[in-house]
Parts: sequence; C-alpha cells; structure tokens
Amino acid sequence: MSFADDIALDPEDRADAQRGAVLVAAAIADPEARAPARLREDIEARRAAAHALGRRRRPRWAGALAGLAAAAIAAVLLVVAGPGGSGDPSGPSVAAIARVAALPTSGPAPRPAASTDPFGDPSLAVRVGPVAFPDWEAEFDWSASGVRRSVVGGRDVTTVSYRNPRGVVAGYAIVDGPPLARGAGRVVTLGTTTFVLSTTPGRRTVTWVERERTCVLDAPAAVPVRTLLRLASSRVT
Amino acid sequence: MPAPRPLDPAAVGDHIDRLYRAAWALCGTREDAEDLVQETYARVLAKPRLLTHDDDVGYLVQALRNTFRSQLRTASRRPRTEAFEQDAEPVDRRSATRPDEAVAAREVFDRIASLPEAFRDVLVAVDVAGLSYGETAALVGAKEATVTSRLYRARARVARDLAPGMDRGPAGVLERG
Repeated sequence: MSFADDIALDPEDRADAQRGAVLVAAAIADPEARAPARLREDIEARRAAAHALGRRRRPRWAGALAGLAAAAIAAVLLVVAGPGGSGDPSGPSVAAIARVAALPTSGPAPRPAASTDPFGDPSLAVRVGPVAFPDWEAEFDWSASGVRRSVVGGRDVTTVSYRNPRGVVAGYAIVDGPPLARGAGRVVTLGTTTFVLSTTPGRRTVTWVERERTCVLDAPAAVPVRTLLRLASSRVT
Repeated sequence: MPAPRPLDPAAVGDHIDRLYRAAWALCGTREDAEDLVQETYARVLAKPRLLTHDDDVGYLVQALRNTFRSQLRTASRRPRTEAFEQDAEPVDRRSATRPDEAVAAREVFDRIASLPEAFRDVLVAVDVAGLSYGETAALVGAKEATVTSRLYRARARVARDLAPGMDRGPAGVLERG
C-alpha cells in the first residue's frame, strides 16, 4: 500500500487526530445516528421470516426431532475420537482426500451459481451430487480460485480452491458416493452436523458429511481453527 | 480456543444502532446505510451461525464489511445510475429541530466514507463500531500497531477535511463559523 503507516505523527497531526476523535464521538452520539424505526421493523420482519423459512425447509420427519435439534444446536460438544463411524470402510481414507485437497488446482475459478432464493446460501456453479460448493466471497472474503477433478481409491473427488485476501489458499474437496469412514481427530458437533478436526505437520483439516457426501476442507496451519470451523459450518442446519 | 457457540438470532437486533452507524460511515448516506444493514442482517439470519468468540458485534461488523465490499464489486459491474441529491430528501422531523447537529453528523459520516479504504475501515471499526484494536487488526488483516497508526491518521484527515468554514469551540468541538 502507498500509505506511510510507520511515520510518526507530528504535534499538529496529533492535535488534528484528537479533534477528529471528538468529531466522530459527537457524530455517533447524535440521536440522528440511531437506526430509524423503519429499519428496526424491517430487521425484525426479516428475523421472523428467516425463522419461518427455516421451519418450512425442514423435512417432515424432522418435525418430531425439532425439540431435540433445538437442544442440540445449543450444545456444542468437544471430544476427541478415534477413527470409525458408520462410513464406508472400503473407501479411501480422509487423510488421502486431504492430501488431494491440498494439491494445486488446474481449472479456472468456478462462477457463482444463479440463485432465486434471497435467503439461500450463495453457491458456486460446481456440485457433487446434491452438494454445491459454497460461495464464500461475500460472507468470508474467501474467493474461489480454481477447481480440479481427481479419482482417489476409485472415488471421484472434486476440489475447489479458495483464496483469502492475504493469499492463503484452502482446498475444499467433496467425495462422490457414500460417506467415508471418519478419521481420527477432535470432534465438534453443531446441530446435527459433526465436524472432525485433525492436524498434520503444517496443515489443518476439518471433515464432515453433508447430504451423504464426505466434505474435506484442508488449509495451512496458519489458518486458525476458528476460521476453518466457521467456513466449514457456514451451511449447518 | 473458546468453545464454538451458535449466534442467538434474538440478540442480533441489540446491535442495530452500531451496525447502522458503521454502515453510514462506510456508505456515506443514510439510504445506502439502511440498504447495507438490511442486506447484512438478511445474510446473517439466513441460517444458523457458529461463533468462536464471545463478541457478537465483531462478527456482525465483519459481515457488514464483507457485504459492503460485495456490493461495491457488484455495483462496479452494473450500469451506473445517479442518486438523488441529499438536499432533495424529505424533511426529517427530528433533524428539523436541530439542523446544526444533524448537518454535523452527516458531514462527519460523509467524510469518513470518503477516506481511503485502509483508513476508513479502521476508523469505522474502532471509533464507530467500538471494536478493540485487536479485533480490528484481525478484521482488516493488519498488525495492531498499524491499526493505531491508521486510526490516528484517519481521525486527523476527518478533522482537516471538516476544518474549512469551521472553528474549534471552547470544548474542542468544531462549530460552524
């Protein structure tokens, strides 16, 4: 950037900075800077509409489990678990998928998918079965930067790479076919979705199952766990 | 790392004033600020959200900033339309009783919005939204020392931009000359 951030302020600049702070404080204390009533009403209506839409989206069988789900979403469990679960033991390992997810992508950046639902999750025009890759640009500032298709252990694996403004790249792989056996790692449960966090030298991986497809998000260890979890859980229901 | 927790949708409305002020300072007009806050809340409320820290405001400000940047990118790809002049707005009953204060607040937010992005984002996060220097550093991807430097420079630029036609009053508050 062109700004000389490290140049010390001279006394005149310092006085201006103090005046500026006073001006800003006065502006935000002005009653005019409070949100208008119509905006408050609009937000409340959106909150109610989003809640109602979420209820309509639930499958019928979920109605009986609504109480349990509501309780579960408030309870986030952190445990350490070994490999296992009810996944396909004959499929490739999650670790193998993570290694593929970390490879450079070769195809161009996928475009956003057309959407008619204003409350829908932004998605890319790339999908594996029923699962579309998310578009994280608006919400998280991670832009899709490439795509690659591979075959691992007889399974089709599609990887989309995402890049943040600092140039850090994460790989999001979705494995076609039935869910894989769960890898070892720390388990985080949010709502009805279980995430497994694992680490290898220099890398972090989070794995979960979405609509019967195994999803693996792999990133350099420099990406904080909370960021990785926030990305992975962006479509949790 | 603190245990992740879901964002409480019922509580997000508690921060609407801070979000609105931050949006006004980003956009420069109240009308655009309302649109930005609406869009931000629509996105945030679209599904359950997982927070990994205690502060809802930090998450909401980040969502607001990302939505603003997304809107800028989208707008740059569309044909441009001219906005109505601010002077053509209907008279607001509240501001009509205190015209000097209303003009001052509007001018301050307008000046903040016209700052270079790196300065504007820091000032909006710290002074307008009330985030800590650490939260702001994480938000803008800079060191805390850089945040401090940019914040001081942003405040100074706002004061200098507003200086023509204004004098400093006895309490250090700028007044119309």
